[in-house]
Amino acid sequence: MARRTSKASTNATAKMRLPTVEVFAVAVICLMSGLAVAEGEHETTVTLEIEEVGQRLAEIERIEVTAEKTPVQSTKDVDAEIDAILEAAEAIEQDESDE
Amino acid sequence: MSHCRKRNSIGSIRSGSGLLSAVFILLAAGAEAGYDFESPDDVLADATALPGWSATLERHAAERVLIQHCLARQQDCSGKLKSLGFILSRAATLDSDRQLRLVNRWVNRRRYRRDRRGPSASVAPGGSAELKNHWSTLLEFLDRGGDCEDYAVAKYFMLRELGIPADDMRILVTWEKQARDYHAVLAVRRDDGSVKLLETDDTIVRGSPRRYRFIYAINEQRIWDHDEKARRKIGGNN
Repeated sequence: MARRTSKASTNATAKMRLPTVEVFAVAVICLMSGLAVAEGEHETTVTLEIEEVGQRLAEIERIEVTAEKTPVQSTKDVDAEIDAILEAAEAIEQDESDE
Repeated sequence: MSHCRKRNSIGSIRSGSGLLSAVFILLAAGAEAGYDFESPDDVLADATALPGWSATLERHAAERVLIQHCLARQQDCSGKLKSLGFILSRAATLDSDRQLRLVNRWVNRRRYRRDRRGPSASVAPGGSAELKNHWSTLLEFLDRGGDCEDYAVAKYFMLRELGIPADDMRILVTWEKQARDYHAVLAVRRDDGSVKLLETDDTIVRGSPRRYRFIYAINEQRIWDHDEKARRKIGGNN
């Protein structure tokens, strides 16, 4: 009786095993195909992003930084030492242009 | 009833003044929030991605040999190089704040000259056939003068010679709201984390002047895109 029970249980396990293997195989296939799709999507995203960065760089290149803003020498920034250095530099340039 | 109404009106005045204070605090915070060096999302590409700028960096690298030689042997220098060598050697003796002021004021004395347009070497898709901005090197600028981006670039290269790291400086292109024009300034990050903008009118501004909207920035390493709309468009595909 005990032997019969054991045999029945082995058969049941074998019956159980077959679908488990099938389910596992299907799961692996799904996972692989999912990964492949995700990779494809990732590649598409990267390609799109590279194209858009390129377009943005082209936009940046087209920006004309003109600013008709002629530099103004402010009288607010007063510093005797800096003023003296600037004057000496100007004298050097004057000498150089005279030569 | 009237008492109750009075109480409610006092309550609304209180909440209204609270709201006003909050708005003022936010506005003040906004005005103080300076240009941000710490936003990794703003990185757009390597500096080499802008051919015009990349070519300027290459030309400057070649010219640096002359500048270095001039700094080592000032008696061998002549012309603009001589006064550049003089300014750099004197600036080296000053503290960092005064270095900024000296370089800013000396560069701002140079001649203003608008860009001459040339053909673009752009390889970017849809890249401009005509190069809108000519980025001068320091020596080209001293020789011929330039416009606002050239002032910023000259300050950048001079401060690099004085030892300020590239990581702490960017040439910042802004949209000036009132003048409705693009403008360039040099942004410098100080040791305390504050950012100073070196202007073409000799001022050095701390914080974020409300008259500007930041568009993009470059240095010898990278390009940063500060236009949020454009950034969202690129990031939107993620």
